[in-house]
Amino acid sequence: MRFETIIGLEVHIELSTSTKLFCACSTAYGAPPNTQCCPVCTGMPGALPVLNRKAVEYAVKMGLATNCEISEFSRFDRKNYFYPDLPKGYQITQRYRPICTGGYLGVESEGCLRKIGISRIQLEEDAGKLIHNEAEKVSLIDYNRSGIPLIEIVTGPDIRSAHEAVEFLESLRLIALYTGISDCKMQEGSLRCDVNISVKPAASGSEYGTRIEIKNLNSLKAVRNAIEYESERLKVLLSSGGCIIAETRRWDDSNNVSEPIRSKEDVQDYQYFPDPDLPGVYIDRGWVEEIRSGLPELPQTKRRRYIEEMGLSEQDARLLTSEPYRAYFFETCVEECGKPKAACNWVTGPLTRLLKDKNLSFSAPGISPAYLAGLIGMVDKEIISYTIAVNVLSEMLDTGLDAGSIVEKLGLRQIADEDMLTEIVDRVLYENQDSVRDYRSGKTKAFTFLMGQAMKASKGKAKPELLKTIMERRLDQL
Amino acid sequence: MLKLSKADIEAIADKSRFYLAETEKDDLTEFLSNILDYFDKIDDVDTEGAEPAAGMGDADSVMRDDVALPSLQRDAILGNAAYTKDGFFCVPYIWGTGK
Amino acid sequence: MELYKLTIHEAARLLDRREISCTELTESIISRITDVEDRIGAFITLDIDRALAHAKFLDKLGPAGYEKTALTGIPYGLKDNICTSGIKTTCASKMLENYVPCYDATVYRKLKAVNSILLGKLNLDSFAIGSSGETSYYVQTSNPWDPEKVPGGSSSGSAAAVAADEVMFSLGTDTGGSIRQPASFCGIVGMKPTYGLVSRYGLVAFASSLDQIGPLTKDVTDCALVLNAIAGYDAMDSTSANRPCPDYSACLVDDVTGIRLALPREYFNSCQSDEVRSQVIKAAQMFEEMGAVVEEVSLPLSEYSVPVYLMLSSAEGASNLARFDGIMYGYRPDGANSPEEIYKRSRTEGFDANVKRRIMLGNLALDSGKFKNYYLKAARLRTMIKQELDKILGKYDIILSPTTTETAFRFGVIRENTLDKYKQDICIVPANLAGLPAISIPCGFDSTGMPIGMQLMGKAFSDGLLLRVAYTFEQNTDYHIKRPMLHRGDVNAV
Repeated sequence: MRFETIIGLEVHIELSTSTKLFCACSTAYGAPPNTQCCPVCTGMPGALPVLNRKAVEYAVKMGLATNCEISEFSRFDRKNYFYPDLPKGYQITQRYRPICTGGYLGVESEGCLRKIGISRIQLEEDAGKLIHNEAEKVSLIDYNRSGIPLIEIVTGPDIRSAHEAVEFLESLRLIALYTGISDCKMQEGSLRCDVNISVKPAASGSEYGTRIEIKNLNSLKAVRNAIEYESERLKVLLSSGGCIIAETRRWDDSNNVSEPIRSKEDVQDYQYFPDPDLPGVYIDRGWVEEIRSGLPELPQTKRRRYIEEMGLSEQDARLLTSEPYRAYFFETCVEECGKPKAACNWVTGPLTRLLKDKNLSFSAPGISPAYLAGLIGMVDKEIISYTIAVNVLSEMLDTGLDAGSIVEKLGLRQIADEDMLTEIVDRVLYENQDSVRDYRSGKTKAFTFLMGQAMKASKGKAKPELLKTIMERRLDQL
Repeated sequence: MLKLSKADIEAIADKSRFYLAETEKDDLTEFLSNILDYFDKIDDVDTEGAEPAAGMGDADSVMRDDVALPSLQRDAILGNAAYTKDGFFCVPYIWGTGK
Repeated sequence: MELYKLTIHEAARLLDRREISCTELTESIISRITDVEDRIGAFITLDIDRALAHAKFLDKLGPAGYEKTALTGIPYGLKDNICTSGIKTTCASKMLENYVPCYDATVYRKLKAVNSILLGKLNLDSFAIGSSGETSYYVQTSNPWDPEKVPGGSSSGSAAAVAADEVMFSLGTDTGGSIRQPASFCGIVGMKPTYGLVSRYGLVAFASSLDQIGPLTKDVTDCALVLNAIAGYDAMDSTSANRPCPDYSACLVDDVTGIRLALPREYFNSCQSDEVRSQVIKAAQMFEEMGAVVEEVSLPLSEYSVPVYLMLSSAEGASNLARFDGIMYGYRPDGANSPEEIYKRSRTEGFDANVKRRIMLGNLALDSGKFKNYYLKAARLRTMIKQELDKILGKYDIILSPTTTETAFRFGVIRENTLDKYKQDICIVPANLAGLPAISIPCGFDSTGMPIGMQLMGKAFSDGLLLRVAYTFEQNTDYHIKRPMLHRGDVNAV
């Protein structure tokens, strides 16, 4: 039997505002426990919330970037439940009047673009962090995270595979990075995801299967593995005539299995109602347009431009846009040197590798894109060879100097003087007469060896083509 | 006829996080049933056209700038807690969630 | 002269002329408290040393040392659900028996800034839920006019302390009449300002969309002075009104000519006491004689206001009181083995039966499963009730009615499981539902000598007009001057 897997995602992204959603406490990561807290974010009796304008702006940014309708009127609701990480006994979220609705994101899947619907984006506050100490039989609570703004992005049941889910998440992550609304550090919990999944026989029409929810996945790998595992599990169950119960499961990353937490039968009633402490939010159309005009070029548009206008390959375009600072570096470099292909090769090749080796990043690479453009120019003008240029780049990253200075300082300028090169070639031929004999007897490999020796003798500075011409000429003349 | 059963009362008590003695359950069944009877008169009113009232504030769109202010001293935050440990609030170990 | 008997404006004048010192005034109040507190039981926390030290400090500084307002050097009390850093704030509950807030409520901060002298924290129905003052975990406050009778609630201590001259003024909180009803029962002035006029920051919330802090005072002039000190925009409260406040003292004009008063038939018909009804009607006639226009009106949705209030206040209350779970603050039972057990035991043992009843009702109202979302229906009706009141207040300046349908009742007459006590709130809850200002002022006594209060309710932000009309009534009557006989030597002024 053939099956179809239907997937919807609920993605939580932590916004990188300076302060929490409803109070002026700092959101900086990694502070000692309970040192970024006040009466509001710890739910002290009598404390009241006041909304952070920046968080609203960031949610609108994500809405605009994902083609959503920005609600003219939105409001906050209380989600009531008890848990030790929730100081007030309720979470402030948006149940009835979310800030954005009805958007979509295009995702590339099997060579075509699929539209994944976004039913809503809502603003809400994060909970505190629990640390479980089994040995001492205690759980510890840190409320530094309590009240940090999140957006929850809810998709329609439009995703059909683990690959699409990961593509979608990657697109969201990039949008968040490009718009600057989140650092999306999954290891710090800035991007978390719940997966709703159901499986049905392909022939069963539009009826959905019984829905399973997998909670709190915090890496793309976990999302991929969990979806693949769960859809397989459900298919096997269905094929063997088994019955699927609606339930919430958790993903065990180390053992690669999902396991049930609770059945949907005893589904909690969160008793949502509008938070009377927070007036509604009218989002002025002028403000929306202002935010729209401040949006940067988004990764998908960028990618298309790289392919269509710069003639780069799909794969190169993806690589370049996979982080905003890399794309920025590339574009500025192209502006300086006018050579997209060369800039692309340098940025995705040696520069990426060297930055990694040196523990640097595109956000703080230590050199300006103009310096790379200068280096590209020197290779182009045959002042140095490509091989030398790679070494020069490494030196540039270490010293912060431009290519010209390093080439001069280390005397790396390419040798294109015929007399000098002839002298080198002659010496090499004299010292390697066995190879010369081999060459004459038709062993072409010997030529490569002789070239290598000559290049070595020039300390790599010989202009390769010229060296080759001279080598051929002198061998012929012998 | 009472509008609520003992099971209803137990479910609401659970949601409210209360243990109830049997006599309290009986009392509450009576009290809440009376209230619901009293509230029934509201069913006579057609409210469909009315927006549900949410808050009572004078203004909408009250927002603040994203400017951090100093937080409280940790001692002040922890000061009223019965159990703390190393700067954390502290509860008995929560089973089945630990790693 | 017994300084404790003075009103704020009288004392302020004497302080201003340096005829008395802050210390003398505070000492007089303290000796009064010593004499009558056993009989009244208004305080949960009394800090005489601190008050005296504050008064002496002010005297030492001299008038040049601080900014002087009408409330400077005036001893007062706060209802014990208003947060005071460093001073216990118990909400009259076992739950918060040892709770010391780490921050100040905005109103307290404002009164500190003008150097009013805090005597202590006043009794209330536990968590401000109740209307007789009988549900405090600590002390039973009795009505200064009759020790057998309740002071009203939930601001029981706030009302009784003012009536017994134990404080020169107090702040209370009013969610469904909790300032006005005890003020009426105790024969003093109590005002619930327009929603949003006074910051709620630091008030331990019962029902956020209904709660409002307000003054309880000996007369209307004092009420205006206290309102001046506590009203105003607060960036810490998103529901606070961002608009300029008038000088409420300047609103006190002895003139009601042309003022239009509406008397809702339904409010008067609900009166259980004929004496109350006839006394308020007498007051209405007085207004008419003074040049006001008085007309009977009908507010057909009145009968729904109490059930709507009950559902909404309980729903918000259940959610607001969810934070009391024994983990970060409040009563924590020993030996609990899981967070769930802490929640249940902390809440079972820390809340009293009355609070639990309302939380249960609130969770029932919010239930969206088995029960038909009572909350939503009530929220829609609230809008309709507000519209009905706004419509009448489009035609009239003020809605005049009794504050309560009877005078103070005896202890223990409320049968907890019945709805009788809620049904008496028909005149007072509409102001909370619609966010309107309302004031209760004394307008007579019944045959047993218990005070009768009448309520003036106005348009949103017409607080100044309410004070003017109340002031006019007060200027032409002497009910507000009468004080209960509590102690040897108490003589009535009249």
